[in-house]
Amino acid sequence: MKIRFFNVIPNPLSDEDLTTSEAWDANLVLEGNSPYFLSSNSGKGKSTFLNYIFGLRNDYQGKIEINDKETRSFTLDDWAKLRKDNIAYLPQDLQLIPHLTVWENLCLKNQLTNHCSEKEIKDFLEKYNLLDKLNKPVQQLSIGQQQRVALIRTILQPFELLLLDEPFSHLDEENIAIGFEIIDKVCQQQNAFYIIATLGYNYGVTANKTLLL
Amino acid sequence: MIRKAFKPAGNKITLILSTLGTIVGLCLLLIAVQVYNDINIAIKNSNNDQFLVIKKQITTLNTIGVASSSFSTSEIETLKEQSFVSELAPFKSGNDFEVMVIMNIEGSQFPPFSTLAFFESIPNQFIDVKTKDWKWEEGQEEVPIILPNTFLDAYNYGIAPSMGAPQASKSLIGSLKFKLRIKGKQGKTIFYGRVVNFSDRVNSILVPESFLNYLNKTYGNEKQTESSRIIFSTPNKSDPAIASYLKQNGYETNKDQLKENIIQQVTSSLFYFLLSIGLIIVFLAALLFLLYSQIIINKSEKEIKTLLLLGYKWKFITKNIIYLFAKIYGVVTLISFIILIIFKWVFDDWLVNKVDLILPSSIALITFVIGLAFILLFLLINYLSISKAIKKIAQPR
Repeated sequence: MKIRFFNVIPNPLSDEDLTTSEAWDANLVLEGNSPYFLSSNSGKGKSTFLNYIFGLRNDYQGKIEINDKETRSFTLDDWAKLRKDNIAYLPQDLQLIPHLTVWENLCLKNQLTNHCSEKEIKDFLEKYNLLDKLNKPVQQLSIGQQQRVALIRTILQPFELLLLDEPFSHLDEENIAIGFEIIDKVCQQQNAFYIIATLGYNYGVTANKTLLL
Repeated sequence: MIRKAFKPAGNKITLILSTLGTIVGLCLLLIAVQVYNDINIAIKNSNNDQFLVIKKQITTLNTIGVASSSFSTSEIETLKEQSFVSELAPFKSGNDFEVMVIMNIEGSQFPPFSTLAFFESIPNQFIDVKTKDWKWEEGQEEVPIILPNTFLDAYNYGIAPSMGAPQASKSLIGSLKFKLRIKGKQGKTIFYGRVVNFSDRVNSILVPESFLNYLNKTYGNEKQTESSRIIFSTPNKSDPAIASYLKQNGYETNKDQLKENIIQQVTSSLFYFLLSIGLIIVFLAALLFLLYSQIIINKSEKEIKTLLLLGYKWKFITKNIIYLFAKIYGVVTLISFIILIIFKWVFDDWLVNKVDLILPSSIALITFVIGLAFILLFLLINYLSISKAIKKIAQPR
């Protein structure tokens, strides 16, 4: 998968000085199978960057292409297919459905993609110490636990690109390490790469490229 | 699973009110359509359909000879031109000869009697009863006669009891022959009359046209005289234009024949009234349903966003919300038709007892079609509204 940004300037940042940004108002190509670290202080548009790639927002000047096709020309169905088969996204606010259980939240994704077996899902949960929370409504979990559920849900699909928006902000070092272990494994399996938005930490990962916003 | 994701709208009262409203509205609509349809079919099936006999009102002016009770040629022509008239025929009557009916059957229980009478004739297609003996040729002694049913009733329930004479069935009267003495400018002659049938539509003593022509030529006057009664056929007896035309020209028709017309007018008014009320209630309920669907979407906006984020298509999400309404509409339709069937059962029973009308026993196809059309219309309106809202949520900001 190849993502290209052609002088993209988000409308909310149009008055700001973007000369030092490696992503905004620049020609940028994202491809390959090594991770990208999207780094900046808050308010510089990390979530915006990921939302543009995922088709949640289009309030920008310039042009974005996915596999040489301009994203503004995508229909709603094109986006739905892309989200189901090509790009997985873990948003910062997780977007779990609070009144559904952990299992139901995971099934909601897997029933659509039919990507993992019940055993594979349970293996992920076990690895992330969540198996005992299977039938608990998500709203009864801690933020850290919710982040782990959301990460598992994100990878229950085929993808070429994984977008992660501050996925470990509420996790301890041990769980961050398990998270990366899972991410690396599934990316390898699917020959995919990921873009992770962080507040500047690299979590000890030697990234392919760090993009400063 | 996806349906579990949506939050219930919470306020069940809106949902219950909309459901009840739709049931009441739909029932009114269905009942109105069914009753209107039933009554129309019943009236079409009843006798005297599509034929009216008209005459002029007799006033004092007629009695003193100033006004004529006959229709002039121009009056007949004007009537012929009216849109509600399909076919028309003036009654032909005897002209300048006297008819005396003499009945004296020896050994019979019937008392001998004689009376002055008259003959009229109208073209066969206007006569409601068909009889194979209905013909007369010159030289034939026996003359077939059609009497009005009211004559038979008058005899059986009036004359016979008061005179102590036996009552007579139609077949008994049909077997009797009686003398007809004709007296005119050419002298006298005797024919034998036999009643071959009884008519509901025509209140006159009818003989075949050929016989009447012969009598006029031989004993009376061949000159065409003006008729005092006209029979006409019409595609729709309840056409309000007929009543207003008759009133405007001072013509009259048999009140009984217009009875069905009045029933039909009352039914029509009731039909339109019920239909309007039904429509208003149904559309108010539809609005409440729209409101309810918007509440569901607003309350579940976050969940809908999640589903879109996971890769669900907007159409799939719309279909799953519509499913909730399809279930409600299914129940509404079922209950409405059950109420309709119960109503029809009670109403038919009541109507058959009150008025002598025979109604079709089944629910009319048009009622089914209208019922289903409304439900489909509801679903369509909901679908359009919901899909618009979901698409709006799905659009990149």
